[in-house]
Amino acid sequence: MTATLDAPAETTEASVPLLVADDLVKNFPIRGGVFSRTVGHVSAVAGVSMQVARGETLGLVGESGCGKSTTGRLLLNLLRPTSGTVTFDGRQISRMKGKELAEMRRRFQIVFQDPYASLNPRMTVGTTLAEPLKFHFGWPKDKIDGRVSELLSTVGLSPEHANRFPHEFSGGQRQRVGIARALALEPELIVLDEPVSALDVSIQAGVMNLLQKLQDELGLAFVFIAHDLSVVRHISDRVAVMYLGKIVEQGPHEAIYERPAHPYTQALLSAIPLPDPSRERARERIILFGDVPSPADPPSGCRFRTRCWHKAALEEGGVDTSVCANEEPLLQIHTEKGIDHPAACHFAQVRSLV
Amino acid sequence: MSTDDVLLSVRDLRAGFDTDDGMVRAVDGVSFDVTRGEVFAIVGESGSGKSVTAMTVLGLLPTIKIEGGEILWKGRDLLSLDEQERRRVRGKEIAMIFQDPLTALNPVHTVGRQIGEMARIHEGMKKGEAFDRAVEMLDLVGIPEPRKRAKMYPHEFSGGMRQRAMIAMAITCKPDLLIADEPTTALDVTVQAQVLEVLLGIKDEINSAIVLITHDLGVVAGLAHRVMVMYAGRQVELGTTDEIFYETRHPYTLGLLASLPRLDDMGDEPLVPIVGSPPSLIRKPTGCAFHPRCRFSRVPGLCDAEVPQLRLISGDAHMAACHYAEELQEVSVETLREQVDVRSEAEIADLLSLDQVLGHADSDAATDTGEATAAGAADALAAAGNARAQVRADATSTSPRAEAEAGIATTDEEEAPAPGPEANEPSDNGAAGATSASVAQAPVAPVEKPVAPADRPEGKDAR
Amino acid sequence: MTLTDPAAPGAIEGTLRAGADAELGAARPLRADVWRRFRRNKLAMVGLGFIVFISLVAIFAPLIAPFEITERSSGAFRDGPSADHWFGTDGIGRDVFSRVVYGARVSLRIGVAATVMSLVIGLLLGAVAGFATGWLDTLIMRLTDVFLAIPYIVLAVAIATVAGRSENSVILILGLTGWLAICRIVRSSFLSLKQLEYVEAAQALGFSSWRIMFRHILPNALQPIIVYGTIAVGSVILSEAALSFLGVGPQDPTPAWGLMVSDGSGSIVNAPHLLFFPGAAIFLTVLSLVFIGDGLRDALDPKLK
Repeated sequence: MTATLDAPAETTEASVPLLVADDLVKNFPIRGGVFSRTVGHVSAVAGVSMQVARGETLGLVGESGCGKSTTGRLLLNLLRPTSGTVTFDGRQISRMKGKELAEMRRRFQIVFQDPYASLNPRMTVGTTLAEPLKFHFGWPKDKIDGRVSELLSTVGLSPEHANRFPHEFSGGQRQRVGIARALALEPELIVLDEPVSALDVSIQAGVMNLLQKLQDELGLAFVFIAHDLSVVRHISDRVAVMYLGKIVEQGPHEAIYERPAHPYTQALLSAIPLPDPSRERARERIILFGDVPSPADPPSGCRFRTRCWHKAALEEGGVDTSVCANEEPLLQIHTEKGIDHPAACHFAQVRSLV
Repeated sequence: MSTDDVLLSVRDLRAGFDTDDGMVRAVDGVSFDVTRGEVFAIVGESGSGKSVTAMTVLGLLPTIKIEGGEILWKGRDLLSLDEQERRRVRGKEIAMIFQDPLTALNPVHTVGRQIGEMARIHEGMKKGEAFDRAVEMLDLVGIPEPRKRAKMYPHEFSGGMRQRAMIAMAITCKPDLLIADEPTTALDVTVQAQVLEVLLGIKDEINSAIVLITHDLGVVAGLAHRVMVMYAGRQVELGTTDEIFYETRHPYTLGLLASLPRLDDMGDEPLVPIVGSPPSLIRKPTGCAFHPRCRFSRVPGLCDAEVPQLRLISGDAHMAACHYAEELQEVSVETLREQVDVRSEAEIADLLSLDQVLGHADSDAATDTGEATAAGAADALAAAGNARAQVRADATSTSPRAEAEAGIATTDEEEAPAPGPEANEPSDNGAAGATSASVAQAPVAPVEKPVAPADRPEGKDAR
Repeated sequence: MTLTDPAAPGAIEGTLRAGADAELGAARPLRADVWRRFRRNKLAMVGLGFIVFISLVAIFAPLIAPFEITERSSGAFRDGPSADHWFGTDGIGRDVFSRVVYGARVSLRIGVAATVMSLVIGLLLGAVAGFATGWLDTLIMRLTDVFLAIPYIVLAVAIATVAGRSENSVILILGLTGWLAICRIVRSSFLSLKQLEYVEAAQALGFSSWRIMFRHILPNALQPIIVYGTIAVGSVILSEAALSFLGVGPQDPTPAWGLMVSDGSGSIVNAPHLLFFPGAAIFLTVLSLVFIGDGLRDALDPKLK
C-alpha cells in the first residue's frame, strides 16, 4: 500500500532519502495444538511505508500494540520482514545476510528503552564501547581508548568512568552510555526506541537535549519511537502516528499537532494532559470507547472503526458509514478537504485539540 | 477548609528501612491533611518517598520502621492501632488502588468474586448479595455487560478494564478515602484518560477524597485540588494546584516544570533539565536535600547547613521548604528557559557523576586538597579534548553569584561556554572540574531500581 | 533570585566534604560484592574451610599419611582406632587413616574431573540449544531425553565393561551422565537472557552469533552453573560410592572412599570403624560443598541483598 507520502522536510543535494521502508509487513505466528503448529498469526506490522532523510527526525508514535517497536526493528533488520523492503542509502538491507549485513550495520544503530537491560552487566562501560571498534576496525588499543574517552565525553560522562560497571551508574547515565554505544561506529541514522520513557521526568530533559545536540553536530537522522506525544514534538521534524500495525496519519510536526485530521490522532492529542491547570480544565476531551482490538484479529476495513468517536458522531448525524467496515482507508492526502498531509480515514477532518 | 472535614491528618511522619548499608530514610518528616471530597496529589520522582508515605498510612509495609509522627484518621492515630483494628479500617474506610493492574488482581478468582469479597468481609454480606454489589460496582466504573464480566477472570480483561475493576473493588464499601498509587502509569494514554474520568466520576458518586500519587504533572493539573511535592523523602512544596503551577516557590518544583515537554509547546522551547540524580536516601546531602542540584543554591551557606522547614509563603496555605522561597517570586519557567543555555557543554554533561572521579581509589588522597584533585580531573577531561574543563574553570574565575544585583542571572552565565582565556588554574573556590560534581551522590543503583519501573508511563509496549 | 551556574564549584563544594567519603564506597566491582556477602554466611565459610582443609590433605597426603596405602601391619587386623593407627586397620592390616587421606586425592579428582566434563558438555550443548532454537534446540533436547531414558545403571555397567574398572571409567560414566541437568539449566538461562536488550544491541552492532553467545550471554548465564557445579562435585563423590557398591569403579587397592565404604559395609557390626571413617569423610566433604553452593547462590543473587 504505497499511497502518496509526504516528502521529507528538506531535500538537499542528497535528495535521495536515507532510509526508505516500503510496505513492511511482519507477522508473528501463533502456535497451538500438540505439535505447536501455526494456527494463526499476529499482524504486528501490516503494511508500513516511510522515508527518512539525512539529518531529520521522524517521530513514530502510538500506544502499546501498535507495532512501532516492531517497525523500528524491521528498519534495522533486527527482525526480518514477512514482506516488504527496507532500503538504506539505495541498498536493500531487508534480505542482506552475513558479512555484507554486518558491514552495513555500521551505518545505522539503535538505542533501547530500558537502561537496565540494554547494557551487559558483566562488561565495563569501556569494554562495551570498545568492542564494536575492535570488531569492525581492529584498531590498536590506544586508538580505541581514545575514541572511548571521546564518546563518553560527547554524551556528557567522564572518561574516567570507562572501567566502571553498569550497575554503578544511574538510569540516566546508563542511557547515555547506550547512546555512546550507538555513536561508536559513526552511524548515519539511529533508531531510538522509547529512549527516555524509563527515566525520571527531570532527567529526560537532559537526555533529550543531548540527542538534539548530537543531531545538530553530527547530522544524524533519527527515528524516534515513543508513546509520549509531548516528548516527540520536541525533537521531530515529521511525525507518523500508528495504530494496530498501520500508519494512520503522517506529516510535518506542526501539521500533526495543530491540524490533525485522523480521529485517532485527535483522540490521542486530547488525552495527553497538559501541566497547566487552567488550560487543562478548559480542554476538550475525546474519550475512546472499548479496548484496542487484538492484532491477531483486526477489524475489517478501517482498523480503528470499532473505537472511532468520529464514526459514531457521523452515524448520529445520519451519515452512512458502511465504507468504514468495507474498505480500508488509504493513507493519502485529501486536498479536496483542505488537508495537506496524508491521513488514512474516509471521513478525515481537521480538528485542533491542543 | 473547615477542620471537621479533615479526614486524614499526617503529622511529622518519619519512617525508614534498615538495610546493610544503613537506614534508608524514605519518609523524613512529612505532614499534610486531606479533607473530604478533595483530590490531593502527592508528586515526586523515583526515590521521593511518595509511595512509601501512602503505604505507611495503610500499614502495608511490614518491614518499615516508624520512627516518629502520627497518622490521624478521623481523629484516631492509626499507628497506635493493632493489626486487626487497622485491617478493619483498610478497605472499608480507606481503600487503595495500585499501579499494576496485572498483578493486583488474583488470577485464580473471578473478578466478581474478588470484588464481592470486600463486601463479604467488611459488611458481612452473603455471597449472592455480594455478587450483586460487585456487578453494581462494575457498572459504576463503566464496564459494559457487568453481570457477564463479573463471572470472568482477570486475564480476560484488558489493562484498562483491569484497572477499572480494581477501582470497583476499592469502592465496594464506599470508603471515605481512596489512595491511588500511580493508577495510570502503566496504561496507554487513551486508556488513562478513560480511567481518570472514571475515578473522578466515582469520587463525586460516593463523596470520597482521593490521594493521587503520581509523577505526571499533567494528570495533577487536570485532577487535583491540592498538591504536595516530595523530594528525597521530604516535602518541598504544598499548596493548591494553581499555586503550585503558577506561583511556584520551590526550585525543585520549578525545575520539574521547566523540564517538561508540553504538547502545546511550539517545539522550539528548550527543556531545562535538573542536573544530576536523586540522592541516596541513606546519606542525604547536608542541609537541603536538593541543594546539590539546585540552580539557586548558595553554598556555603544556609542551603548546605540547615534543613529548610516547610513554612507558609503565600496565601492561606501555600508552603515551601526553601530558605529563599520568597525570592523565587521573580523567577518563572520562562525565565529559566531564557537564562539557561541548554546546549552548552556544562548543561549537557551529567555533571554530578564526576564525584566518581574523586571516588576512585587513586584520587582518594587528594580529596582534601582540592587543587590536586582538580588538576587530576581537569587533566582527564582535557585529555579527552573536552571544553568542559574550560567551562568550569571559567565559571570558577568569574563567579556568577552576583547576589548583590537585583537581576536574575549575570551575563557571565551565557559567556561560560565561550572559550575562555588561560583560566585553567583552580581558584580557591575549590577544585574546578572536580568539585562541581563532587556531591554525595553516588548513583547507587539499588536506590533507583526498585522505583524506576514505577516511572514507566507504559509498562506494556508490545513489540 | 540569582541563578547559579550548576557548574560552579562553590555550589557543591560543601557537600563534597560532608558526604564524599561516605559515597565513595559505592564504586565496587561485582566480585568483591559477592565475596562480601559470601563471607557473612557462616555455614558457607565453614564449608569453605573444610574443603580447603581436605584439599590440602589431598595435596600433602604423602607427608600426612604415616603408612602407605598397601602397607600392612602384621598382627593388626580389623583393629579399632589406636595410638598407631588413628582410624584403625582393615581386614588385611592396612592403616585406615592413611587410606582415607590418600582417598581424598582419589575422590576429589573424580569429583572435579567428572564435574568439569559434565560442565563442558552441558555448557556447549545448552548454549547452542538455548541460543539457536529451532531444529537444533529440538535435536539437543531429544538427545537429553534419550540419555535420561537409559537406565543409569545399565549405562554405568556398559561403560565399565568397555573401559574396565578404574578411576577413569568412573569419571567417564559420571561425566557423560551429569551433563543433562547442566544442559537444561544453561539452555533456560540462554533462552531468557537472549531476550534482553543488550543482546539485541550486540546484534545491531553486527557481531557474530558465536561471539554473542560466548562473550555476551555466557558470562551472565554462569551464576546458576557455578552453584550447581559446586554441589555437583559432592554428588559425584556420592555417586562414586554408589558405583562402588555396584562393582563398577576403582578396584582395590585404590583407596576410593566409596570403595572403602562398600568393602566395610559388611563389617558394620564387628568393625564399624571401617565404615565410619571413610563414610564420615564423604559426608563432611559433600556437606561442605552443599554449604558452599548455597552460600554462593545467596551471594550471587543480588535480589537477596
